[in-house]
Amino acid sequence: MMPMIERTEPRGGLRHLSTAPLPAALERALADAMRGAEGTPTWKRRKRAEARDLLALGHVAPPGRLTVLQLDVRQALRAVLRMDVPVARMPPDADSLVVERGVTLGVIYPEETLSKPLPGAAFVQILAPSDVWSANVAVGPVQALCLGASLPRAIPVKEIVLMSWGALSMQSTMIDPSDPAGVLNIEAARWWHANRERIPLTRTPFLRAEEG
Amino acid sequence: MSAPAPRPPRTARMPDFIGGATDPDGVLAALRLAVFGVGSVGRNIAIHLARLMPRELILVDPGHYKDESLLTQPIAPVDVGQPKATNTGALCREISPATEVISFQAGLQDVDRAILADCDYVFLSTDNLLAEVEAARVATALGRPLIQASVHGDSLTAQVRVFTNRDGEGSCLLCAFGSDEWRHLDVQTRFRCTPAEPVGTGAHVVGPATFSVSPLCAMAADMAVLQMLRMTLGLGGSVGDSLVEYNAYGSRTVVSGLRRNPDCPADHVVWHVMDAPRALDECSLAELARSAGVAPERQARAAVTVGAPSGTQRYFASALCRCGNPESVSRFAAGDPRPTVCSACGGVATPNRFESYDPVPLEVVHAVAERPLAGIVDTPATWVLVRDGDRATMFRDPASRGPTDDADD
Repeated sequence: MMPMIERTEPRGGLRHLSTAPLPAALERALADAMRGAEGTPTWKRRKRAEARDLLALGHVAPPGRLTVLQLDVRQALRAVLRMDVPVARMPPDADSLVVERGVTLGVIYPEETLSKPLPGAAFVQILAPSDVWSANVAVGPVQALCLGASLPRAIPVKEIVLMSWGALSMQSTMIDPSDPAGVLNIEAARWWHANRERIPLTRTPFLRAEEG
Repeated sequence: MSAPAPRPPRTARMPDFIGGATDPDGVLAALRLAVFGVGSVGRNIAIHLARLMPRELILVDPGHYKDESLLTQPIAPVDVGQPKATNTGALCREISPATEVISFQAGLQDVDRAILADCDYVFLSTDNLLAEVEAARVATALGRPLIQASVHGDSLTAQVRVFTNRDGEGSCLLCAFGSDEWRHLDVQTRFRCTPAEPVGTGAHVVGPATFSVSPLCAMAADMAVLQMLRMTLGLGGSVGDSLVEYNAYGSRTVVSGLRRNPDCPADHVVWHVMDAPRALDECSLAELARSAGVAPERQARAAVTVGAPSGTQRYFASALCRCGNPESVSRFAAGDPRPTVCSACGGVATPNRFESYDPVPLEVVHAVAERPLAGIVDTPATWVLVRDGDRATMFRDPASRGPTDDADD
């Protein structure tokens, strides 16, 4: 479990994320994780930079918006994140759409991404809640989140997190079942196509606190 | 089918190379060669190699000949529509019946690394950047010389790069990738999200057609095979880690060196290839780690990759059932692992990708690390890689073909 850190100041957005100072506890958490890091020097450097960005992103975001619950950089970079975002669900026993706040995400950032593009569903899995109702989320207990047909080589983790925010809040979503890129839940795509007025679930950007 | 007519011996036209090997016939007869991409350039390479009558020739290409192939490739109209690898393989077999020709109508990622580990040279002749990346990774890891032949039609230029991959210290193909190559790789690679396919599968490349002329493609192939002959028979100076470029506009040839890029994203560690202590499926991962010389205090940090006839196998620690119950899987599988029945409701649990690994740290597989591989893989393993820091050891089944590094020593 990563340490809980009180947020101090919002700091200059994402441009300076890599140089934004981290609280000592997060620096220690990063150092602890890196002690187990394996791989080539290039991959280790990259994992450190990405892990640091992830921690910094949680730090500069509004309180509770992003919490890094686990960080494992032994081989691939793996993180469990808690994101405070509205998420649409369609539980089997519900008679209508349920919108809740908060998801737990499992992120895997493999070394392969340094040398080739990977499919958009290769990085993020929704660990909780279940029954997320989105064209971009696979149906079933293992809910892969698709962030596009293909993500560029060496895409930074922070962009994956921001894309996840966009996809879950439905600020950016793909609901056309006939799109050649495809969708992971065709039924949900059709449902959202018929209920477009409910999109997005929030217009708040990732770095801004919800109003009201 | 009648037996092919006897072929003349290789020596019937073999020159007496100045300053060359004393037994070129024996050297060439023992060669195991692979060609990735048998199109405009690669088919020419394959045909040249067949005429050298090597021991083994592996041809890899997922494509088919098209009408336009007649313009640049040494095929006849009857070949149009045929799979490139098997069609070229058949021709090579006709030229050299004694050569074992293995054709893969597949992408390079689907070819067994254990087979490629035996190759003396890997030829690369594709304009598919994803295949280039894969070829670079394979040749560098296996420590096999990679000879890349390519053309730039507009400037009538043929290029051949030779990467020796001897010790991981030299240049690899990706060292030379510039921003243009990386950008094109992003643009050309496509996947499709579909509920029917496992996540992360189905990469294909959407690239522009290569515009060139037949003699330029043939020239690149000629140069590539000549470079291999020089390396193999010790003709002239070293051709290792070099680029030879011929420009037909000026009838000029330029030779330059290839240097390691310190920022290259590719892994440059060369795998040590050796036989498993006994049949691979009887070995445990812990036993292989010990055989690889992983110190007890490093056992937890070392990682393993389990190979399959097509690609690698992923370790799935768990599966999730729709009822919410997690089930242990603890198996390696090339695609999705075989179904796991939920102990709570009897339903079929779905493999949990977030708890899947490739490579997998040994400490993650500790529960099954002492069990024979046969009991923890869905597909029989053809090789296992044990990685401990900068040391990587590839184990193959002792019954598989070819000499290992140990045998060479």
